[in-house]
Amino acid sequence: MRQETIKALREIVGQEYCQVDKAIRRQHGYSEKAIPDVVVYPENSEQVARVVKAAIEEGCPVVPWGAGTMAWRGLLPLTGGVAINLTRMKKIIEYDYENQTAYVEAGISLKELQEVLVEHKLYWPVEPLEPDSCTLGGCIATNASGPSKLGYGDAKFHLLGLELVTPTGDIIDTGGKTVKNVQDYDNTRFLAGSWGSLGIVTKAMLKLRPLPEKEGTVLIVLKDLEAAAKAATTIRNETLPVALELLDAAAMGILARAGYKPNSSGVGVLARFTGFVEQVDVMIDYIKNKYQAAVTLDEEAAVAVWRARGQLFPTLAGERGAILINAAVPFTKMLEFLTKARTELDKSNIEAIMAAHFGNAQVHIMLAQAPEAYAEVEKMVNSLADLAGSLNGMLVVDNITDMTLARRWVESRGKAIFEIMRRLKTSIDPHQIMAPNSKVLAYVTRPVS
Amino acid sequence: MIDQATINELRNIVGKKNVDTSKISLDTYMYDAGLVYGNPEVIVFVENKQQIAQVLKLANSKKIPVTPRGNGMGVSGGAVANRGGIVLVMTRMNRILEIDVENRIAVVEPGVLNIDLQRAVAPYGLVYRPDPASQKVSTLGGNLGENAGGMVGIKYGVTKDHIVGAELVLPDGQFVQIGGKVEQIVPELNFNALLIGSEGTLGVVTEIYCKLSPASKAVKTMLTAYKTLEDAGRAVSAIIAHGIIPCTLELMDNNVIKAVEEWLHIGLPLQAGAVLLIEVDGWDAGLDRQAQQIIDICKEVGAIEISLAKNAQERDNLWMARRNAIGAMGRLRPNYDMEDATVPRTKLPQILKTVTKMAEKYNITIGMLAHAGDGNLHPLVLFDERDEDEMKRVHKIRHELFRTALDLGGTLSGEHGIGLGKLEFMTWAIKPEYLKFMRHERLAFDPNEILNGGKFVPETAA
Amino acid sequence: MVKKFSEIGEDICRCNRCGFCEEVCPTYRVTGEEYSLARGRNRLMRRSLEGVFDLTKEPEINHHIYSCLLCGNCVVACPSSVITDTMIKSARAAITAAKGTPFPIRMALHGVLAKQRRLTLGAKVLRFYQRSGARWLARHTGFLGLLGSMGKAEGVLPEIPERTLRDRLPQLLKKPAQAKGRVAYFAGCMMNNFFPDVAAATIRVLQTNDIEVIVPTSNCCGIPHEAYGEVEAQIKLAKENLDAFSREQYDAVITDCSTCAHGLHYYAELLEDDPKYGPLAKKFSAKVKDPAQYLVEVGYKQEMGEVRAKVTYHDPCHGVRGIKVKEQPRQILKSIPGIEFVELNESDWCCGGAGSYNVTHYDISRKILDRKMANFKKTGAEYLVTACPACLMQLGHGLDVHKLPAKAIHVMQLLDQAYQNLGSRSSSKAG
Repeated sequence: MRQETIKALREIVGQEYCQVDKAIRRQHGYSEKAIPDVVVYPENSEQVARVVKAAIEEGCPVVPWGAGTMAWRGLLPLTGGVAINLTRMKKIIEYDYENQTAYVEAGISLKELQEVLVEHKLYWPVEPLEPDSCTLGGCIATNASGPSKLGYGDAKFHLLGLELVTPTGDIIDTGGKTVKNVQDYDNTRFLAGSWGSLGIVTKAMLKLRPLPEKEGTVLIVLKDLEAAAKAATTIRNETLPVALELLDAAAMGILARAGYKPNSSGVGVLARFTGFVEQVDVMIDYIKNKYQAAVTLDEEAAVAVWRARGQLFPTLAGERGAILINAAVPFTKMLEFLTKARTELDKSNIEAIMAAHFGNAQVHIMLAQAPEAYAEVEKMVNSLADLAGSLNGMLVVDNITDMTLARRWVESRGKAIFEIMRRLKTSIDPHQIMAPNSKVLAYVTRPVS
Repeated sequence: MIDQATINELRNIVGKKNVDTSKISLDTYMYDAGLVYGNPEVIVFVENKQQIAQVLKLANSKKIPVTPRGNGMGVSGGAVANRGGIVLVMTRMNRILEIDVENRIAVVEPGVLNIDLQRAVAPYGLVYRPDPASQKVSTLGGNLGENAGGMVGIKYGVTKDHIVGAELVLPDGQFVQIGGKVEQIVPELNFNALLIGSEGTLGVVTEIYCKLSPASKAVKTMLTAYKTLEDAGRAVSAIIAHGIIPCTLELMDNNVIKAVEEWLHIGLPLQAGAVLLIEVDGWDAGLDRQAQQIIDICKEVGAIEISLAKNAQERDNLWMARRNAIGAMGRLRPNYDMEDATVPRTKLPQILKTVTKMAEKYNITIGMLAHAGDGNLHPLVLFDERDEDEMKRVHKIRHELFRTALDLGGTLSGEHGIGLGKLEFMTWAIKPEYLKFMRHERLAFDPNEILNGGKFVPETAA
Repeated sequence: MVKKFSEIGEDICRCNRCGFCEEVCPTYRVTGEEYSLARGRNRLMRRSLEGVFDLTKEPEINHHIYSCLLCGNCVVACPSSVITDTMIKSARAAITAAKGTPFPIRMALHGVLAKQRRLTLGAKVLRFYQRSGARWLARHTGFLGLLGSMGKAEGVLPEIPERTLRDRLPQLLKKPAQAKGRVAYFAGCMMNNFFPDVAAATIRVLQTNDIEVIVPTSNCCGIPHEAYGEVEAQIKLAKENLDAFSREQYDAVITDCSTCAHGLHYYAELLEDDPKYGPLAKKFSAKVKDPAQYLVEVGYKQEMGEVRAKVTYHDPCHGVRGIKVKEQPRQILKSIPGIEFVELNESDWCCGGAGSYNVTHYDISRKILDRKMANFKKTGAEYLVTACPACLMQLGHGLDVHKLPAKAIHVMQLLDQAYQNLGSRSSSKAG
C-alpha cells in the first residue's frame, strides 16, 4: 500500500485509529500470511465512506470487520488492503420501544445491545455462535442464527432497514422503520448474509420482540439415533418448539466438556418453548406424557445446556482446530441422513460429532481435524456430500478455503446464476474492492491469495 | 412495434389460438384493478414453462417489452403494459404440483389462486399463512411479485416469510433456481429475498416453493368499539406493549362503520369513532387469559363496546364488518380507490387524523381500514372517475398522504407495490444513489429491461 | 321497464375493475380470459358507450356479450353490486335492435318457442329422430361434426317422451276433496315437451297436499327471447300469458321451472310502465312461486314413505339468484325419511346449461359442466337434485359423458316418490 494512502486514512479516522501494527493486523486476517495492510477504526458512516473512496484511489480491497467471530466461516484468505473495524460505531441512535424497533450502529456487541433492550422488556432474537461478543454488523453480514431460528428465523427476519456504505463510497438506506414495506427491492434481507461483498452495513433498524412470559427447556436422552429422531419428529409435528436440537452420542459426550453434563448417555433431543405460561406448560406436559425420559430443566440448567450447545465446536476444536460441516436435507430424510452419516464417520478414526438443528433439518458435523489438514478427510466429506445430494439435500464445509463443494450446489441452480452474480458484482462494485474474499461471491470475484 | 414475423414466431411457440392481437381483446388487457392503463400490442397465453422461456427469449432478442399477468388483481399497475409489447397471461399455469405434508412445502405454478392452495392444504391441518384480502382471486405469482400481505401479518409475517424459493425464467430464456426446499446453507447471495416483491422485474417465476405451517388450534375473536380513532390507537399500542402478539388487529373508522351498518344492519355502534377487530390464536391453553387481558386493556383505554365471540358462528358475525368493508364503501359512489400507506404503528392515530382532515379539506369521502398492528393503512377513497375536478382532488390527496406517511417515518407502500401508481413518489423516499443501486440489481437480471420496464425503480439519469 | 343500453352509463361506471368477480364468474374460471369475465365484458360495454367501439358492429364484442351465462354470480360477489347481467341484457337488446337475430335463432324464438303447437310438433320430430335410425346415423357418420357447436350439443337432448304434459292433463288433474287452496300451474316449454314426468310429479305433490291445480293455456315465458335481446317479443309473450292467467282465480302461480318462475316474476318490472298490464303484472308476479317455496310457505304433509338415497342439490341460477329460493328445496329434501343430504361444493355455480348456451357455446359450456361434475363426484351422491329442466338436461348430459352412476332429478320427483311410497313398504327410488 502506498504511503500516501496510509496518510489519507490517518487523516480520515485519526492517527490512533489507523493501525499498521502486525499483531492487530493479524487479528483481522485469515492466517499469518493473509493479513491486511492496515486496520482502521472509523467513528461514523461518513468516515467509512471516505475510507472506501481512499481504497478505490489505491485500488486495494476493503473488508468490514466486527469482532471477527465469524470470519473463519465465510471469508477466504486475503493479503493486503484495509480492514474496516466498526467496533467504535456502537451507538443506539433510537430505541423506540413502543414501536418495538431500535436503530443501532453496526459495531455494537450483541451483549451491550441486549442489555439496553431488556430495560423495556424487549430483545433482538438472534443467536450467533458467540452471543456476547459478536457485533450487530457481524450478525447481519453473516445472517447469523442459532437453534432458535426454528421459531424465530435467522437474523434477516429481524431487520427492517439498513444503512449501507456502497462499494463506490455512497451511503444508502434500505427498507425503513415499518414492518410492512415494499417500496424498494428487499435489499435489507438481501444484504443480510452477503458477507460485505456488496457493501458495508453501518447501521440497522431492528425489529424487536417482547421478552416471552415464560421459557421452558426439555431434554430427552434416548437410546439411539432412531429413537431420538422419531421423538424429535413428533415434537416438531405436534408442538410448536422455538428450538429443537438433536445431539448424537458423541456430541452429548462433548456437551459435558462444554459445560453441561447430562444425567445419562445416549442421543439427546433438546427442545425449547417460549410464550405465555399456559402454552409453554401445556406443550412441555404433552412431551413429558409421551416420553418418560423427558426432563424439564430449571432456569440455571437451561442456560447451561444452551450455552454448552453453542460451545460444542470450540470445545471440540480446542487448540488443534476442527472442521465444521454443514448439511441440509428434507425433514423426512433426517433419520436416514444421520444414520448413514454416522456409519460413514465411524469408518474413520477421527473423532466426529453430529449436532442438528433438527427442526430446520440441518446438521452440523464436526470433525476433530485441523482445517489445514482437510485433504485427509476430503474423500469422506465428499461421500457425505454425495449422501446429502442423494437425499435431495446439500452439504458444504464452512471453514475451509476449498470452494468445490459450494460451487457444486450453486452450479445446480443453473449456469445463468453466475452471469447474474457477475453482472451484479461488477456494476455495484466496479472497482472490485469490496470484500473480494467473501465466499458468497467467490464464484465471480478475481482470485485471491 | 411488434411486426408480423414476431407474431408468427409467437404463434409457433404457443399455438395460434393463444396469440391474440385483436383490438377488442387488447382493450380488455389494458388495465388491472388500479387506476393506470397501458397499451398492449399482443396477448400471449402460456401453458407451460418452456413456452415462457421461448417467448422471453424471443422478446429479449428484439427488445420487446413483456408484462407478465396473473389475474390482473394488482392495484399498482404491475400487470399493465405501460410500454406496449407482450402481455404474458399466466392464468392457465394453475396447477398445484406437489403438497409435501411432512416436509411442509407446497410447489405451485404461479397461476394458482392463494385460496386454492389454502383449501388444498387444509385437510392436512396445514395453512399457507399469507392471506391477502384478495386471496380468492389473486394468484401466488402475483402475491410473490408484490410481497402480498394479509390480516395475520403482524404475527405470522407476509409473503416473503413464507416463500422459500422459486424457479425463475430469465429474460434471456435461461432457467435458474432461486432458494430451495431445504435449509439454505451454501455460501451464496440470498436472491430469494430480492425476488419476492420485485414486481416482476427480474424474471418470470414458473414454480413457487411455499412454506406450509401448522394450523392454529384455537382462536379468540373480539370486536371492540371506541369513541375516537385515538382511543383505538391507544388500545393497539397498549395491547402490543403488554407483549401480546394478536394474529389479527384490524381497524375500521366511523365512515366504514356507517356504510356497513346502513347496508347490513348488524348492530354496529354508529357513534363509534373506530372499531378494532382483534384475534389471538394458538393452542387453547391460556387463550382465555390473553383474551381477557386484551379486554381489560380495551376497557382501560375506554372502549365503549366489547364483544367476545363464544363460538364459530359468533366469530363469523364479528368478522362481517371487516369482510364487507370494501363492499359497503363501494356502494356509496361510482368508484373507489384503496390506497396503501404504512407508518410505524404508534403513528397510526396521527396519520388517521391527517387523512380525516384531508378528506374534509378536499371534500372527498374516505373510509379508513387499517392493519393496525403493522401501521398499514388502507384509505378507501370514493369518487367518480368521470369527474375531472374530483380526480384532481383525489390526486392531491394521494400526494399529501404519501408525503405524510414518509414524514412520519413510514413508507410509500406496505403491500400493494410501487409499480406505476407510485413511481412519481419514489424520489421522495429513495436517494438517487440507492435508485442507482437498485437499477444495477435489475439490470443484472434483465440487461435489456424488457420485464415491466419503467416500473418500480424509476430510471435515473445515467 | 327495460333499461336501454344507452341509459346504463351510471351503472357501468360503478365497475372499478376490482376483479373480485373473478372468483365466481364461471366463464372466466374455465378460460382465464379477461374478455370472458364480467369485468372484461363491462369494459367492452363501457368502451361502446364511450364511442370507442360500436358494439352493434363488432362481431367480437357480440361474441363476448353472448358468451356470458347471465348466471348473475358476479352481481353477488361484486363489492359495488354492479348489475352486469342486466347490462348484458340491455346490450343484447341493442345489438338485436340494430342487427336483428340470426335466422336460425329467429326461427326458434318466433317460429317455434312462441307457438306452442309448433314447439310440440318440433319435439315430436326430434323424438322421431331419436327413435328412428337417424340419430344412430348422425352420430356414427360424423354428420354431427359438420354442425359445429350444435352437433356437439346433440348429446345434451334428453329422450323425448311420447306425450306432452298437456296430453296427460285429463288423467293427471284431480281436484282434491277438501281443497286447501288453488294454484295455477304454469306449463313451461321444456316441462311440457321434454319433462312431463317432472310436471306430473309436481302436480301430484300439490294435489296430495290438497291443493287444487289448474293449468291455464300459456305461451313461452319469454326468457329465451330476453336472452337474445328480443325485448318486444318478450313483452308480447308476457301480455299473452297475463291475459290467459287473468281469466282464472288462484292463490299462487306455480312453476317447477326456475327459469319460468324468474321470468314470470320479472313481468312486474318488465311491464311496470304499461298502464293496462302494469297493475296486472304486479298482481300476477307477486303470486309466482317455486313449488318448494310454496309448499314450505303453506306447509306440506310430513307423512311420507321412505326414499333411501344419498342426494345433493344444485341451485339453478334462476332459483338461487332469480327468485331467491335456496333453503326451501333443501328443507324438503332433508324432511324425506331415508334421504341423506350432502351439500354440493359450488352448488350455486351455473351448470353451463344457461338455456340454449350449451348448444351455442358447447365447448365452454362443457368445461363449466366438467367442473360441476368434479364437484358432484366428491359428494358420492346418487341423485343430483335440482329445480330447473334446463339444468336437468345439462346435468344429465354431464353424468352421462362422465359415466357417473347417478341420476339428475327434480326435487318434486323425490317428494312425489316419498308420498307414493307411503303405505307401501317400498322405499323405491324415484324416476
